[in-house]
Amino acid sequence: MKIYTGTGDGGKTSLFSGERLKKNSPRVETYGEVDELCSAIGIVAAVLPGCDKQEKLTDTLRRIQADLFDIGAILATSPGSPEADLLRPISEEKIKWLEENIDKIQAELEELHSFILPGGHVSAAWAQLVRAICRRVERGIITLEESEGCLHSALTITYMNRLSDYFFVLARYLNHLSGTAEITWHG
Amino acid sequence: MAEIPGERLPIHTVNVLRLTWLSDTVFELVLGKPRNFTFHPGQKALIESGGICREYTLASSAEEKELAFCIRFISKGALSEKLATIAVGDFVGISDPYGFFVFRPGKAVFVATGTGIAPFVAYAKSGVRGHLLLHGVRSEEELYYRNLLQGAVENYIPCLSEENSHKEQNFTGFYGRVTEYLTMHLPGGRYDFYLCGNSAMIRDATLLIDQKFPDCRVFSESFFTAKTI
Repeated sequence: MKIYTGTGDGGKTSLFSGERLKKNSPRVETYGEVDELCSAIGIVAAVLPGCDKQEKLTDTLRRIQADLFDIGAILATSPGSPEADLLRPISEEKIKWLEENIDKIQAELEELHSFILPGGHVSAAWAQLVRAICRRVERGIITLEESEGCLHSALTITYMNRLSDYFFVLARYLNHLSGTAEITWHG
Repeated sequence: MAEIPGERLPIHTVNVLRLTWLSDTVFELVLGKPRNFTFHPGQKALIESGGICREYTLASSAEEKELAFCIRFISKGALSEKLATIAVGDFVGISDPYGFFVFRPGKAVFVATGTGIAPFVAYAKSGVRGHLLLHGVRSEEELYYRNLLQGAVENYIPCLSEENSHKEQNFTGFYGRVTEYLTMHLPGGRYDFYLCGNSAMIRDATLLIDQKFPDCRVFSESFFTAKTI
């Protein structure tokens, strides 16, 4: 099956709520960044170190990717449109679930006494990049909220904030699991 | 909203109630309705037989007691060939309904090619009225559901795209592609366009809408055929 449609050849794309927008509009930029984030998480999943935690971590990453599909749809929907009723907003439970995951893996790590440089095992290095993309998405949502409005922005921003924390801890955890030393920063 | 590939499965087993050929290449398959199967007109479902799954849009209203699907027979098609010869009483698998090509209240223009008419049949059977519906096909015998749509939709325009198409007496539709109809006859205004059909039509109609009908909304559902109409 062909995957190209050509409907965007004129530089516009359709929102979930049907409007045709230029591809460099803030809304399209923001959900495009969520797509980038979701793809980068796919790389983390693909390069996880082989260990007994691999299956559980893969499952967690897939669930996060599914949440990001929901967030992409939220961002691709104009506030006030009837399509808002079709969306699945990020829930408090999702945020709590992320926090539990953070706490669980952090309990297995040594306390951090200095800054660390992103890197180490390849999966940890990608997890740090994911963390940075989370921050960019978070900034984009705030900008969108201030300019055009964004559905369910409060919980979505909280989720992105917690997600970047998760990937910071995950990066450390992946170095730990793979037996890779953390690179501390000696400013 | 999240749809993870592989997680949607044909979880219901239903029996084949009827198979009716609507043209030389298109047939309607009517299946039993699983208990608690609720859907919105315009949604689709996976049909499975012999381990092969394909998605098809429901051409029924939610109130009907059976499920109709409008299927194009594709020679050597993985599933359509098998379904075309299936016997009444045989069993197939069907997934829960999914998809977002559902009608939103507003001033709408419905554009279909070929079997892309299915969601609009579902809308019509569900009482959606008062909108322009274009159905693009090559020739008049492919205007399946014509009788139903003529009765149920006030502004139903069949569009025959075949060049050299012989002019039928008393044919009240349009000779030309659906995009030509939109260019020539649809007055400027704000509409919600619903496009369902082959990818070439979706592309051409979308680009036309961008130029001629800015500030309109576009919802599209594309499928791919060996030959475009």
